[in-house]
Amino acid sequence: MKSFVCVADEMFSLHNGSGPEAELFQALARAGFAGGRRGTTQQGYYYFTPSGQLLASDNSRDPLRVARMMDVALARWKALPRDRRLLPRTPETNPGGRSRGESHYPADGLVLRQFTRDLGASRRTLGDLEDPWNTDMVWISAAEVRRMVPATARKGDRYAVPESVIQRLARLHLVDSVLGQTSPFQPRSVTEARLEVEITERNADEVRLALTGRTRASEGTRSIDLRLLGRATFDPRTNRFTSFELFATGTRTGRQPQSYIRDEAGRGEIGFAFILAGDSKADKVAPSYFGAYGWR
Amino acid sequence: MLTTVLTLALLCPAEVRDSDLDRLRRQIVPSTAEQAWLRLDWEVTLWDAVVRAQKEDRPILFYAMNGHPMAVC
Repeated sequence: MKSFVCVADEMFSLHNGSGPEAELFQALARAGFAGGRRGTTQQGYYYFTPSGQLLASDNSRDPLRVARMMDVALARWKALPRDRRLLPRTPETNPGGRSRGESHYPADGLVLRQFTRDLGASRRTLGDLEDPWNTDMVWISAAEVRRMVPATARKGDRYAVPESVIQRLARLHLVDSVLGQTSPFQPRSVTEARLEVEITERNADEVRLALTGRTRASEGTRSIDLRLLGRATFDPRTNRFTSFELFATGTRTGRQPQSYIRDEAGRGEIGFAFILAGDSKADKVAPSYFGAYGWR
Repeated sequence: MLTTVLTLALLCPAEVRDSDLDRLRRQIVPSTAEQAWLRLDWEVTLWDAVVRAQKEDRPILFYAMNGHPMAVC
């Protein structure tokens, strides 16, 4: 893999969107294993040159097959003269017509990495994965952070987290995505959403918070009932969280609306973790349902 | 009396104990090994990969999924 620049990206919007980035993918897809056809998944691996020439493509979970395809792609790369594998000049970093959720990254806010997995005896499996899990990103704006830790809050104070934050968590993040991407909840489907802060310690250097709450949602064939518990540390000198852990555990019932999610159990325990994200590129990806954040 | 105690228990916020949070972290957060693929040197947008590959004269390996692989997929 070190021979390649590796990239992971969301292909549905690239396949169906417009602009230079989408057009690049659409050209690759047309030349690739699935021909870019509507109604056919284009998910998979694409090996190509900066000039846009496809070297190889495939959709496989077999690591040996993927490795063979990498070798094929590298051999074809090495056979290409420089002026065919590269563009005449370095492209613009952000060309006109390109719209990405990542451009709204809240550098002065709070960014959390989310993990979701089953708990308890009714854990589901996914193919050969005995304990599957999924992930996502959560964004909280700087303005919301200021309301989460007001300058006037004192030790012992209790108050609610901004409604916008807990509603986003309940609708867009506390959904059963263990077996794959599912749909967020409609606003009317959230029957309870509360998250409360208690200031447990405060001094010039540090504010410590305890978080407790509950969310419930029900829609169609599915519902979820969760208790939230967490802790965080905030630096009032920099207005940034230095640690943040929030966990949600409870019961999921019903089946996911997506036909590709085979959920045989129908009911079980589920857990979510929201942990302070790092500074890597992977941790700066937009939340999956960023389109519903209302930030654009 | 018992009813009052139970009612208060339901109404009062749950106590946040470090031991409970540590246990939940162990149960839910994937291990370092499970997260290893997340920590590779990925670009996370197709275009950024093209810009970098042009500068470094390297081919691109694009892992394309419905849902970003670094988020829900």
